[in-house]
Amino acid sequence: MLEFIRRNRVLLSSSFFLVCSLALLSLNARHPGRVDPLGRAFLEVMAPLQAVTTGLARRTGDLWSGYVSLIGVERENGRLRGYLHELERHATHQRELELMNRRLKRLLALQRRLPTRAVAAEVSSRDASVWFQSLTLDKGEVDGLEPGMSVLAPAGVVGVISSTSPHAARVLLLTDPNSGVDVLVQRTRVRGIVSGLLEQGAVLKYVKRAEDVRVGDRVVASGLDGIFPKGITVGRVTRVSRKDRGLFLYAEVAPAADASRLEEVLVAHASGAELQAGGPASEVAGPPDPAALGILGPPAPVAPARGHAR
Amino acid sequence: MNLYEATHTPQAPSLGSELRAAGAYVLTGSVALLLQTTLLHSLTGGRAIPDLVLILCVYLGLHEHNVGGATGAFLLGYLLDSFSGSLVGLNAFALTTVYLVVYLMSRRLWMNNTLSSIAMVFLATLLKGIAIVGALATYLAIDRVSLDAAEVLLAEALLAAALTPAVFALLGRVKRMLGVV
Repeated sequence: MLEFIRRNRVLLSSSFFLVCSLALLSLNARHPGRVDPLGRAFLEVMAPLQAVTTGLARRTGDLWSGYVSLIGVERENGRLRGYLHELERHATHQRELELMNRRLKRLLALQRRLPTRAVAAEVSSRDASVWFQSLTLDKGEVDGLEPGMSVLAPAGVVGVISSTSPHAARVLLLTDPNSGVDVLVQRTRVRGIVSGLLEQGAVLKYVKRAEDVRVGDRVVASGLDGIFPKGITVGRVTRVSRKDRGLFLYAEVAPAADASRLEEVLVAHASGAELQAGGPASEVAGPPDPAALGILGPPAPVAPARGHAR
Repeated sequence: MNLYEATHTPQAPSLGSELRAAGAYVLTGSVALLLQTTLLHSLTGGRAIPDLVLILCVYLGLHEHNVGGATGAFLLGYLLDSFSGSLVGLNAFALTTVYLVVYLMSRRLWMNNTLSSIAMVFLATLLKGIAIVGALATYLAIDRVSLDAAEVLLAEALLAAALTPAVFALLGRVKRMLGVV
């Protein structure tokens, strides 16, 4: 008997527990309440552990969802940054176009007032040394450019073409020591030559000590050199010095066109007859009005022709 | 003497070893129940939860061929009953049935490999479902089970089968840690 029980202990014990389970089931199925003799103890022991585990699971879940959200935010942030950069690039491009449009409008206004044919060109490079002042243009002989042609900007005289190649031209600036422009002091019609300095700026040469030249006087091209149209602004007198000795006074001139900031220029075909004829350019240069050359806003109304003899 | 008795020479385990084994099962059972009622619930959304306690019960059926094994299966079922809204005794009945069937099968089939353990857990989950439905039909006069319930049961069986190698490995490690041979 004992041997039978020992051999079949698992079967017997399992059967016993099956019977116990069925008894519990029967009791609970019949009773309206819950018959659970050990349940309270189990619940008491496990409940705190369950609370802790649930809390941990919830925090982990929150951390996870926060992390996932963060990844989403990071992605969105990256996308928005890219979008912002694109917009900034677009805005910069638009701004550049707007500025170029303004500059070209001024150039066009100047071109319409010139008595000679003019070609617009872009500045492609500047002088390699600091001692000389020159620019390179992106147009050359193919476009009709030749040495000796005047280079102008809406603000005034820039320089003269010194050499050309089929597709490029070098400009000797007004501020170069080798340059020379025949000019008039607009207020008093005193004539002289503006030439560059080794330092920055230009100087008014060959004006007699007794002549009336003051700081602030506008200096315009006389047109007598056969290069620059008459009346085009060259600059303003910034300093006048009359030394004790010598025939001539010393006057420094600040060029009207800032060559360091130029991007587009007009190259005017030299024609002595036209330059001397006192065409629209000289009319524009008549009154000392910066808007007259179309530098600012719409072109100014054409003023009546004025004499320019000293 | 049959093949089982020839290969399973009964060795009287010491009391200390039995207590340590019981401790290992109590510990893993408690952790399994804890996970099943908390973390796994939130991970799976409560739709289909892998029955870790059932896996433990199958382990008992495969490795604990003694009164302690049967007692453990019953207590695990009772523990489940205490933490579920079902009739008390329902899970105890189902898990005791599972233990008994696994025990009987392991006496006749060689089941000490991972694949057979996975298959056994899968079948045991289905068996548990059938046992519960049978008991409910008997005691609560339920005569029909929806197709959804069958789908959930299948999903639970697959999940439990997938977790079997990990749970078995964990149990083996816990037993070794506690010095259970």
